[in-house]
This record gives sequence, C-alpha cells and structure tokens, in this order.
Amino acid sequence: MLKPRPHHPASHWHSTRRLTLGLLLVWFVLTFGVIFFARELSGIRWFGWPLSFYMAAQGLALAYLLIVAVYTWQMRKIDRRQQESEHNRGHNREQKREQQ
Amino acid sequence: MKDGSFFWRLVRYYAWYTGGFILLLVVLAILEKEGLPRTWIGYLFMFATIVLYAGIGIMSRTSDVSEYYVAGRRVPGLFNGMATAADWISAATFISLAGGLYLQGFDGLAYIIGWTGGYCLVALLIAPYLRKFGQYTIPDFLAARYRGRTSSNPVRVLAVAATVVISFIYVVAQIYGVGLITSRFTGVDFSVGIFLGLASILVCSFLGGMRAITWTQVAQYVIILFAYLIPVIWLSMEHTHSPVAQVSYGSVLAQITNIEKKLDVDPKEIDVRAIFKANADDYDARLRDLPKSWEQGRIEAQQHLELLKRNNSSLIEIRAANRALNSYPKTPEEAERKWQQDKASNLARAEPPVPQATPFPGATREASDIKRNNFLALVFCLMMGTASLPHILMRYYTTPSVQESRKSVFWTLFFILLIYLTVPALAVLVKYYIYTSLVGSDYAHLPEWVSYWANIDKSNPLVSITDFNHDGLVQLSEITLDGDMIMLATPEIAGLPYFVSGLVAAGGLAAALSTADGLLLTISNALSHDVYYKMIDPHASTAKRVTVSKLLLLVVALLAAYTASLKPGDILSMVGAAFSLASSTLFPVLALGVFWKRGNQQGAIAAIVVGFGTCIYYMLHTYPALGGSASGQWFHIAPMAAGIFGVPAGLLALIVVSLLTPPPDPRAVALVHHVRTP
Repeated sequence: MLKPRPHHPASHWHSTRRLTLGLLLVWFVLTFGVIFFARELSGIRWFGWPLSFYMAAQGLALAYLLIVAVYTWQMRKIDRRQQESEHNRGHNREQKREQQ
Repeated sequence: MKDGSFFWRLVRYYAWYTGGFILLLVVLAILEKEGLPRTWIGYLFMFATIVLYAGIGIMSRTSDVSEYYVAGRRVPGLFNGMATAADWISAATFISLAGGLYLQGFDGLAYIIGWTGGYCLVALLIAPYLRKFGQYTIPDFLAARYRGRTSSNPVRVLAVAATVVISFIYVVAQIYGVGLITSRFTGVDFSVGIFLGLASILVCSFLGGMRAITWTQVAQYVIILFAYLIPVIWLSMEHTHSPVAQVSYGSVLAQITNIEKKLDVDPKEIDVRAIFKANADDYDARLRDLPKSWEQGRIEAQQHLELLKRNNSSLIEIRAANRALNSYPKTPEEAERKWQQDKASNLARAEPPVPQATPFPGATREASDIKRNNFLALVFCLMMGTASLPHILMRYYTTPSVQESRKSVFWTLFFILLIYLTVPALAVLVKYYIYTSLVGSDYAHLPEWVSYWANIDKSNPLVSITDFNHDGLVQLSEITLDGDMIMLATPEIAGLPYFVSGLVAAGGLAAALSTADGLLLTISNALSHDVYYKMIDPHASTAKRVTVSKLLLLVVALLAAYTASLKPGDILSMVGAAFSLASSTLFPVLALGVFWKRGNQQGAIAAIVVGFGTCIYYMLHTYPALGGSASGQWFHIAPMAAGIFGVPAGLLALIVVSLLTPPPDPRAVALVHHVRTP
C-alpha cells in the first residue's frame, strides 16, 4: 500500500509565495539598509575598501545573483515536489480502479 | 536528448566564433606593429563586426511566426542569458557608466545597484509567469489578464502605447550612441554614422526577427565582454600587478583617497578654484544688473572686435572675438538663462574634487540627506524600470520551459555582472592615471589624446585643459572631462596600442546595436501583433503578419534614426527617463497581475493612465529643459527619478479602482491560476 501523501491544491502556490516574499524581504532590507546607512558603514574597512563603497559597487550585485540563484534552485525543488505528488495521485487512482 | 545536442552544438559554434575573434585581434595587433595606419584598424574593426552581424542575420532569416516573434521557443537558458545581457548592456552602460562613476564618485553607484537589483524582481515576480503564459508580447499578457466582459482591447491599446513610447525613447538614445561611435572612429559625419549603424541593425532584425537577433546578440555579447575586460586587465596589471581588477582595485582606491586629501589643501588648486569663484561672482553681478549688463556686454564685445581690427591684430584673435560676438545672447532673457548656467558651472568647478569613495558628500547634514534620498529614489526607479522594460521581458518568452526561464534570469545577471563588477574598477583605475600622470604635468606637453578628443567637437569639447592660473602646470581643477568619452578613450589615456581602441569602439557599437535591435523588434512586434493582428485583421495569414511586422520595423527604425540625428539630449538622461516611465506605467499592472487576483480591467486602465500621468507631470514640472523648474520638486527629488511617485500612484490606482468596480472576468481569474501552476 502506498503512503498517502497529504495534498492541498494550493500548496505549490503557497510555497512559491512564501519563498518569493522571503527573498524579496532580503532584497529590500539589504538594498535599502546599505544605502540608508552608507555614511555610517564607510568607516568600516573591508579588504582595503570602505565597506559601503564595496557593497554599493560590487557586494550588493553579488548578493542579487545569490538571491536569484536560491530562487531558481528552490523553485525547482518546489516544482518537483508538485510533480511527484501529482504522479502519485495518478498512481493511486489507477490502483483503486484495479481493485474495483 | 535533442535539446542537449542542440545546446552542445551551440557551444561548439560559439567556441569557434570566439576563437576566430581572438585570431582577428592577434592579426590586427601584428598588423599594427608592422605599421598599418590607425584609420585602417578602425575601419577593419567596424567593417568586420558589422559584416558578421549581417551574416548571422542572413543565415537566420525566417518568415515563420513563432521563429520570428520568439525564436521558436527553444533558446537554452544560458544562451538566452547571454543574449539578454547584450540586449541589456546598452550604449548608456558601455559608453557612459564608467564616466558617470568617474565624475560622480559614490553617487554614480546608484546605476550599478539599480541595474542589477532589478533582476531580482524580474526573476521573482515576472519572468517565469510570462513564460507560463506563453504568447508573444507584453501587451498580449496584459490584455489577456485584464480582459473585460466584452473586450480586451482597451488595456491592449494602452499597453501598446506605453511599450512604444518607452522603447522609442530608449532606442533613440541607442542610435545616438551608434552615431557617436561610428563618427568618432571612422571620421564620417554624425548623421551619416547614424544611418550606417541603422543599416546593420536592419539587416539583422529585418530578415530574421527574434531568431536572428538572439543569435546575433550572443555574438555581440562576446565582443562586448572582450572590449570591456581587455583594457581593464591591462590597466590593472600596470597599477596593481594583478589581472583581476575587480579584486585588486581596492588598493588603488585607498591611494586615490590620499591624493584627494592632498589636492583639497594644495595651494595651487585653491588658486584655480578661487578664479572660478571670482568668475561665478562676476556672473552673479551681471545677473543682478540685467537688462543693463546685457546691453553693456554687447557693446563691449563689439568695441573689442573693432579695436582688434583697427590694430591689425592676428587673424586668430579677430576670429575669436567675432565668434564671441556671434554667440553673445540675443535677448536679455537668453542672457539670463545662459549666465545662470555659466554661474552654476563655475561654482561647481570652484568646489574641491568629488571624493571617489565617500557616500553622499555634502556641506551640511541636510544637503547630504538630500543626496541620499535621491540615491534611494534613483535606485528604486532603475530597479522597477528594469522589471518592466518590454524588450527585456520579451526575451523570457524564448526559452523552452518555465524552469529554463528562471535559469535564464540567473545567467542574464551572471553575464551582466561580468561587466558590471568591472565598471567601478575601470573608473578608479582611470582616475588614478589622471591624478598621477596628468595632474602636475607640464602644460606645454599635454599627451596626444587630449588634443585628439578635444578636436572632435569644437563647440562643445569632450576634454578641455586650460592653464587658468598661468603657472605652466596642469591642476586637477583645470581639467574637464566629458563622461561619455572616458571609456572610449581609456586605451589612449593609458597609452595602450591602437587596436585596443578599435576593439573598445567595436564593443561600444555592439552594445548599442544589440539594444537597438531588441527595442526596434519590440516596437514593431507590439504594433504588428497587438494592433494589426489582434485588433485590425484577426484573419491575417501568418506570412502577412510577418511582412507587416517587417515593414513597421523599417518605418520605426527610420523615424528613430531621424529623431536621433536631431541630438535631443545626452544618453544617460534619455535612458533615465525611459526607466522612470516604464516603471510607473507597467510595473503595477505586471506585478499585481500575477500576485493579486482581484485586479480588473478598470483598475488596470486607471493604473496605466495614473502612473504614466504622474511620471510625465513630475518630469515636465521639474525638468528645466522641458519648461519646468527645480523649485517645483517634491522632497528635492530630481526629475529623472519621477518613477518614485509614479509607481505608488499606479499601484494605488489599480487597487482602489479595482475594489470599487465589479470583480474581474472569470477567464482572467482562470489565467492567473494557470500562470501560477508549474
């Protein structure tokens, strides 16, 4: 007997939305935090750069690439989970038909 | 399996292509050593690259609708990323960005942040959902999403209008860049240069639409990358002994900060600044005395000329006096405008140098806060604008699947960063070069590039160095550089061989052409697909649709070239305006279209109209060249960042109007569910 997987029609969209919201929050806090406090951060040295200059010139851009990478990778996982659960549902239905 | 072999075939083709390009570089380097004249090297670069683009265009010619509009939807994510990066890296980025960072210091970094951070929004909010929708244009998506009970046309018309206006402003800026480069490096007239560039744009997009453009853009990206990285690596080796400028330029930045501190208190620099201050005061006095001072100034200029003529002075002096008289303001009003400008520019030059690494330098905390707020506003507009530029979003229709489109955004940002992480390094390295080898050098022996770049446009020189305090030495305050020439002149400033200059010009041309291609196609697709096919003749055969698209492309291209030949403004401000307009008009409807089911047709119409209206109103109201005045600014925000008001206005309009009117059509809700599922 197959293990019954809990399935909610909204779960895929639900996890997508949560992931999107979380990453947007990171994006927002990072961007506007760094710019807003740039004057305060410029006293800190970072491998020879003033931290605020480095973040604005290169650090933020690299962080954005990371955000997009995490999103792509996580969404693939979410998509795959959805496909599996759909596949299983199809499998369950077939089994039921055979039993009848 | 089939997709895999297609991918590897592409990799093989472009590897051969890159190898061929390196070979061309080596051959030209050897030819230069053997004494080939410089002009020939310039011609060879222009000619070889344009023939190449045309060749790809001819090989990929097509009349199939899906191939023409979306390249058959089989472009792998990596290659679509490269093509989008080329589409993205425009004349503004390639030619002006390094110059902007050079001149504005920290404030210029707003462009880097805005133009990369926007891709987070593209990836998270828009690209995958557009791909899932899977039609041809951006108006297509908006029309289907915001369909009414009877017709989807109102939203479609507005979206087409927005797409065309935004892309048109942007394409004019690109063609302007094409004209600048071709005229500088081949010596033809500016307007001839524009039409030369246009010819090569057309061969490519005219014959093969999106399919040809995609494969050309990948080729153009390779050239852009080489053209940007080679001079920087070269400079970096000289100054930091490391080829990885992106990592090693920190030490140079520290040295620049030290030099700036010395220049701040250098007595000779203070001397020159005092001269500018005196000039500004002089203009101030004249402005207070208007219109009497205007009358007097004219008489003095006439007397000066007559005196010179009577004394049999040299022809050069007489000509200069004549020119001064001819360019003297014709009316007191004109005098006021001109003198205000001169006063401002003299005042600006009386200031100590802008520190490269200090965020928001300002005399008072308040002035500094205003700079920070403008920085934030600009970043906001550029990010939202990135996520709503139709020619970029359209590219994500061409991938084989939703997942591939997500991957493609990643690759786009990756390839953009290869260039963008280098831009601040370039600005800093060039600045170091100017500070150490030009400042303090002998005025009588200026390097050759100064006179070369000063002579390109005599009335509005890109470089000028004048010995204001007559001490025979060059002071930093005596140098003015135009932001648009810094990247193009980098190889000469650093004394690199001329083939690197030719390469940089070819890269700039590739950047401008690839963006212009994408934009022209976006405009013509919106007109032919959304207006002609969807609204005028829904029964048009596929061949007819593609033909109409090609014809429209020709008309739009000629119109854009004509507008560019009128020289309507500088590149960066045109591009900035396009971003603000795009964000205010399209971002609310695109983002809420997926994430808010309740949005309906009336709301979308309101959002587009209100967003566009707010943005245009603010620009007209505050931009002096358009008849506004800086005193009308809200919270001291510059007109270029008008989107900071446009986007919230559009969002609010969409939400309020949608809630006040009946819920959306069930077919629209079904579409939202469709794009949300994998």
